[in-house]
Amino acid sequence: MVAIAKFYLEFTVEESCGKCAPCRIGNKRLFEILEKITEGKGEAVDMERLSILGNVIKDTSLCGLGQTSPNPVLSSLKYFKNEYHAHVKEGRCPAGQCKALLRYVVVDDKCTGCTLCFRNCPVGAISGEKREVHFIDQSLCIKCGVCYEKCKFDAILLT
Amino acid sequence: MPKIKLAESAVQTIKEVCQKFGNKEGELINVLHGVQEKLGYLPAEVQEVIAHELTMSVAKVYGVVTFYSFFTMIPKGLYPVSICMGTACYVRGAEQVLHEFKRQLKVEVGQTTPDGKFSLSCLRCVGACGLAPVVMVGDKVYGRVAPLQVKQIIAEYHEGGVTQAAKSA
Amino acid sequence: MEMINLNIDNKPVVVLKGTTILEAAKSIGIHIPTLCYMKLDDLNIENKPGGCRICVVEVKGRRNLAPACCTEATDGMEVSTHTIRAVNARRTVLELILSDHPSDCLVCAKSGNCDLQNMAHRLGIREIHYKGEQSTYREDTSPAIIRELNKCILCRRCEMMCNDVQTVGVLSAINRGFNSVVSPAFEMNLDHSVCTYCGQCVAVCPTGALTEVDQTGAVVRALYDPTKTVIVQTAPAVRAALGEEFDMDAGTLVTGKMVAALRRLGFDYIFDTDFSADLTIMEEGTELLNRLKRHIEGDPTVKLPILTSCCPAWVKFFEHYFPDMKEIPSTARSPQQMFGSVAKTYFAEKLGIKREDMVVVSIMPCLAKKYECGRDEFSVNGNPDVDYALTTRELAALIKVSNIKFNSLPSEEFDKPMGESTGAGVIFGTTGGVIEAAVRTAYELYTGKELPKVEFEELRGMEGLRKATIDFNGLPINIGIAHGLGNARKLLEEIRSGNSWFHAIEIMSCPGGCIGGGGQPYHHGNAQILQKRQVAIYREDSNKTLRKSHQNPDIIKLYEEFLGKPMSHKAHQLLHTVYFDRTK
Repeated sequence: MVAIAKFYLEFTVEESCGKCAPCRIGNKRLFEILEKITEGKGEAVDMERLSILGNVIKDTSLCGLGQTSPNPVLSSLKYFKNEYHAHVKEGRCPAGQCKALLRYVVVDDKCTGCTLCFRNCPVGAISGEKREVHFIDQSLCIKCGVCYEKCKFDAILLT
Repeated sequence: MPKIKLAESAVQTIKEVCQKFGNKEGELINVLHGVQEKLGYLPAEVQEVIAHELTMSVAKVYGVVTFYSFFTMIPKGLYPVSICMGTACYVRGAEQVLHEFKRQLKVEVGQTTPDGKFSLSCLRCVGACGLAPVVMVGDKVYGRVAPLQVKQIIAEYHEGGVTQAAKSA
Repeated sequence: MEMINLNIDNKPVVVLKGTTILEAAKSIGIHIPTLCYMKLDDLNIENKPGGCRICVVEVKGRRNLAPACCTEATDGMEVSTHTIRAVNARRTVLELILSDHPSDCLVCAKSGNCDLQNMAHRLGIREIHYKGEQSTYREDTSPAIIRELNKCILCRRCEMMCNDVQTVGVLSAINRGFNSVVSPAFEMNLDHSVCTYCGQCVAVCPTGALTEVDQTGAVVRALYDPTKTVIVQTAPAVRAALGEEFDMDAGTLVTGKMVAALRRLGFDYIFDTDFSADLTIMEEGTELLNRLKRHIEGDPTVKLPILTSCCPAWVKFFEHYFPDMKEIPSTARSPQQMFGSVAKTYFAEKLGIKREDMVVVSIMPCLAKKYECGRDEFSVNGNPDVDYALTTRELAALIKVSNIKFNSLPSEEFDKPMGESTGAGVIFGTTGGVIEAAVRTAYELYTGKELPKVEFEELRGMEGLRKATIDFNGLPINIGIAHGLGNARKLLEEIRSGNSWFHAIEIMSCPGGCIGGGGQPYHHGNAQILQKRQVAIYREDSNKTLRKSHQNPDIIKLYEEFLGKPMSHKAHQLLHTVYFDRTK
């Protein structure tokens, strides 16, 4: 849900006309804080900042765009507080959306070495011989999720 | 901005569009639409002619052109690729499709490939949510696009034979 | 007229329908903080984009906060201007604006005079909680104006002045959202645009985004160069405003102290632009009479009206927008340029020095004068007639940095032979002044009679477009006056369409005339300051013994010794000019 709030803010930042300061700058700051959180760099105080800033933007913006753009943030903060907590306090994305906080890992005892993932990886991040446990190099992985989709043995874990 | 000399016919076209809207400053957006439809894009020289015909400052014309993403100052590609980023498409993986197009075409959003064939842009909901994720190339709609299909879609236009050439926007 | 009753901070207030909350509050002494809002009363100039959202107030029954500057007061309204909600919102919005602003205060040209800085101080901002990306734009330097768009807060005042008041149309908001900025078309540099350097954008900019090119360094280097003789000329409008930079009331005349300060700064000769203003009248007045005579005699080729040409921003405006009418303005140069031309010939000869060893500095209320002294036609073999034009603000800064205690300076006199002036020269500083000075001389030269009354009240005032008919002993002369380039454009379009009934028109680019110039102490939106400066100019005029340019003994001497007579060949060479078509 944090990623969704960020997606909507990205839209608003692009669409903002730029005439009034709270929407022009405020929405950008809201987006930057969400970006920080989804990259795993969020701090506990960020949640309070999102709330105060979101409310001021709603209260002072010149038009309907600014008056409603913080809503995804404010409502997701209210109803999915645990997701924000997880990002900020545990460095974890429960929804599996925030790439920086995700890792695709091979589950050793489930991997059969069928090489399906290895053959489909678009960046060659997976290595392994036939019938041997495969390995995903995190520094190359672009987290596209193809291996996860292709594996027939549930041997790729999204964490 | 490098100065280009507008062909007399282009200047005539612009004047005609302006006249159609009574040369009124208030009709600027309609005029810009009309001129872009006929000439394909709105470089500085075109904006100067429009400013002159509508008796307004060219700075204001430039302001309107740069404000709206629809108006462009550089020619768009022959095949404009637009990826829908509305809510439904987004949750069904439009971002990955965009990523793949960027990788294949080697351009960023808003840019055109050096050979002038493809330009890449994002849309915000074309209203075909049942077909999410949606990609449009010109007027042709592709539904349920997966990243693995991107290469194929592009290939259709490279050969030039499989699909009809899309009208440039 | 319908009256409205409302409540602001539990105080009842009655106002006319159509009054905003901001104005209603002001009428009972409640000053709601504003940033982008600006109103110059009497000049019909108002900037009300409602963009900064600093003036937000709480209105009972309204879901969100209301911007006081553009919300109309309604009957029964209950407004609270400083609830915790409103104050917190104001402070948060200001923090946002500051988060997108460079922290250059210590070295910024506007420090101490900056509306944004003052607001941060007023609202007690101690920390910026929302740091993030900052907008960055390249700096743009032109002959007179520097644009540092990193500091722009998008108040739109410059855009409003340039488009609506001056009708020059250089600036417009471009792009969108966070990337929006105010810029010339195609983000070109100002010196490639139709900018006239009138500097009204600089005069109203609340931050350091728009400032003038600072030439004090070059002037100081010249002052300390033992091989150079540095002379200075001071414009009339400066003496009516310089005191404001030293905490004196607006409208305090500081002529004597100004001269004393310049002497202590080390200038070799302190002269007065008012002297060359008298000279301008001699040339322009003669030109006017020549054209009038030909007109009366029925010469169909003569161009009337004659337009004054002492304002360089106006001249550039004319060259861009009305080059088809190049023969209409007077060919006389401006007082600044006439001064330089005469100083580097007549006075240099007297001193026995080469023109290259003389540095002419002018103190001007104007930014366009910086551009004017760089125009090719105003130099001889690459050596400019006027080397540097400093603004009133730059002079004040120079005086302060030199540790001169301005307020306790004695009153001193200008040097001779280019320091003497009549009242007619002084009034060049205000709208209506140039033409009144011209009329004082033209009347007496034409009729051969002495003026019954020197003051021409009918030419005075603050209205943007004025007209009057002066009786030249039976011959009615129609005079038009415009200040603000938007008003100038109106008169010029009348001339172009053949509907002009004027014989002579005075045009000044800046609201109020030179007293409202782009280089004057910032008025921060208070139009009363301009009124007071105008009053001071007319007061200096009435305090003088000589009131008409042709009575100036040093001007008479200049003609006898050097120029011959007005419009002589030498006068033409040194004191007249031509204009250029800038549309190509």
